[in-house]
Amino acid sequence: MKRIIIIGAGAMGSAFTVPCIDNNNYVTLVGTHLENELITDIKKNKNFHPALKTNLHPKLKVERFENLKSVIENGMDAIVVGVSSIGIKWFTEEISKYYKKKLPIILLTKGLSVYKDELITLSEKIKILLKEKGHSDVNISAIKGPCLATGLANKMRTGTIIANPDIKEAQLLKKIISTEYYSTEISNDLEGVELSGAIKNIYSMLIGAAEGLSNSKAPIEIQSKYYLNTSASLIHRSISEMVEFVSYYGGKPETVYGLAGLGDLYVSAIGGRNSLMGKYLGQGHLYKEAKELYMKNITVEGAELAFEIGPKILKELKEKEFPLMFSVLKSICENKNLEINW
Amino acid sequence: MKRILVFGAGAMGSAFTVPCVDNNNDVVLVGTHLEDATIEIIKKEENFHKILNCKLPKNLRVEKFEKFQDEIKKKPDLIVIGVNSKGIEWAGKEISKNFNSSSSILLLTKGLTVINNKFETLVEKFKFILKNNGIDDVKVSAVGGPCLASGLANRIKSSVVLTNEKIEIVKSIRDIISTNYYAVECSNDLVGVETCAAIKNIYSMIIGASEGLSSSNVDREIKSKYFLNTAASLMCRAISEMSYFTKKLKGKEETVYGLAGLGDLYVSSAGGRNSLMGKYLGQGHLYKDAKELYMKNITVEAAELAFEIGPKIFKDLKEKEFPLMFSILRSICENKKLEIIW
Repeated sequence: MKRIIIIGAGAMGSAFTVPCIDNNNYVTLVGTHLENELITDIKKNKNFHPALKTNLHPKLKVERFENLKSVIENGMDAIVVGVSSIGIKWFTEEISKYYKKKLPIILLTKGLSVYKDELITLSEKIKILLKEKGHSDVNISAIKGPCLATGLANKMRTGTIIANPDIKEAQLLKKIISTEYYSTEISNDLEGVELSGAIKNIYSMLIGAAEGLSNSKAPIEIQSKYYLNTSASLIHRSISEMVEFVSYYGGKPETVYGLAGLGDLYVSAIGGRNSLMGKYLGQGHLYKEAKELYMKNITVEGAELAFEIGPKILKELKEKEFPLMFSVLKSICENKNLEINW
Repeated sequence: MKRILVFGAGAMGSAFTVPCVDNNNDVVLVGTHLEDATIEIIKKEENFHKILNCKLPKNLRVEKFEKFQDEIKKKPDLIVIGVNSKGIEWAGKEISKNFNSSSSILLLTKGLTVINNKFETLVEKFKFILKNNGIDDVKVSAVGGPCLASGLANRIKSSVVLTNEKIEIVKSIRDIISTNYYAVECSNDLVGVETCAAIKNIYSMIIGASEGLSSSNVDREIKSKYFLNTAASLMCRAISEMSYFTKKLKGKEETVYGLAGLGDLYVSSAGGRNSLMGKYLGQGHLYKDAKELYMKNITVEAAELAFEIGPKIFKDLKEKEFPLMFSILRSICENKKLEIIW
């Protein structure tokens, strides 16, 4: 039995408590400073989570952010990052106060960042920030793969991949969190797993756009009936481009063909907000207009990532080598019409 | 402008005429001896094709089987075989009667078969048939990739891969059939493309079954809402098994990650009869029951392939290395309940 603390009570962080508890760990879910109301709600309703629309385990301890210190003082074997990518900096600052050498940090957040004009992964970002606070021996793993939070919370059979440059660390975590419905693979390609997990949000927009891109001259009902040839081609082209991208930034190609790449791309392309935004772009809407009209207060991760890394990518890579990526980035960062070459 | 003869007026053969005509070739669609009525209707309805539910190009000539030998004698540059796999033997015999070796042959029919206890592609089988009819040294190529006939007929952006061990042969076919909506890749991995085209049918059943397999103890409503995690994982597992299988048959791994493998698997899992049968199996029906109850007069390609290659696979391969393949084959060939290990 391990003591696991999860920070961030959003859908993913909260769903992740489910296999952790089922595997007999002592688990505490701590909300961020912005989630006080949510935490009160969950506590009041016997661990019912409003976003997941399901009851979390009765044994799960749920705490407000102000209690983080006392929770940590009770013991901590691993800390899980369940905040959004924007919250990474805040998380690191808070946790730097308590971090002890080699304590496992498990990263659920997907994203990439640009630091000193270099493209970096979120685990690298955390490392850099912790180092600024004097912590140099930092142990971070990432868990990625096709795992919709609601599915996991309902104990649907799910497969994910745990990555750590030191495979023994990944192996250790595997033992702590796998259950009969939550199977985990391990990998030492942390870079590739994080890169894949992030950029699939961009490519899932493109696959979401397949309907509109399938035949601009045909009526919408023909497009929506027969667009599958186009989306299947785009999945294949996306995977090929993702392999190039991940290899360029230091990950392994085989990671892209696995759960963190293909698996996650598949799930995001079929459902989810990125592919929905893609659908609007495919129909011919400009990004700003679609956001305003249809998705005003909804976070589109793929678009946020595009704004974060777009300028760097558009400068650093060649359009000829990454035609799909460029199409999506231009449509978002430069608010241009989404177009692809066939 | 080239002369192209498409033999077989089913969905795929007929749809294939569309890019051929759009690319300014002289194209004739000839029905089999069983398709006289179909051809008559197409002619009467000004090239409207009933199954495709759309019009074929005006410039397409459509002929009954009685004209077949006359058309063969015109020495078409390309003969396209669109009959189903059961008609292959017959088609080979008919073509041999007046065949001119300047014609190139392209098989739209896909498959894998067992001859003399060896796995053979349909191309090999077809060459064998021609040889038995006195025709040697023929250029026979095949096509793979995610291309539903109705999509192609509606000029939906589609991509396919043409394959021949001599790549120049398919490159010259590409030049006469590709259009701005029909992108054609070329590959010399004939075995890989044909193997993928065949076995993806089997794997699309398991992905179709993911809803039922997603959990053993929650109700159906929850499963159908949240099964995507399971489907995505199975997609990855299927691709990695397919790559293993294809390598065993001396095909190339990269073919599996391309249009013929990944692309076609995606399209078949998203729709189609194989994944529908898979859905029933996932729900717990036995194959024979499901066939009788829900799909009595419907051809399930994957099941036919399972009966064809199943016995040899059970004998030659190890269940440990191909767990998904074995699960499906058992459920079909031995009428057992479909189960997978998570």
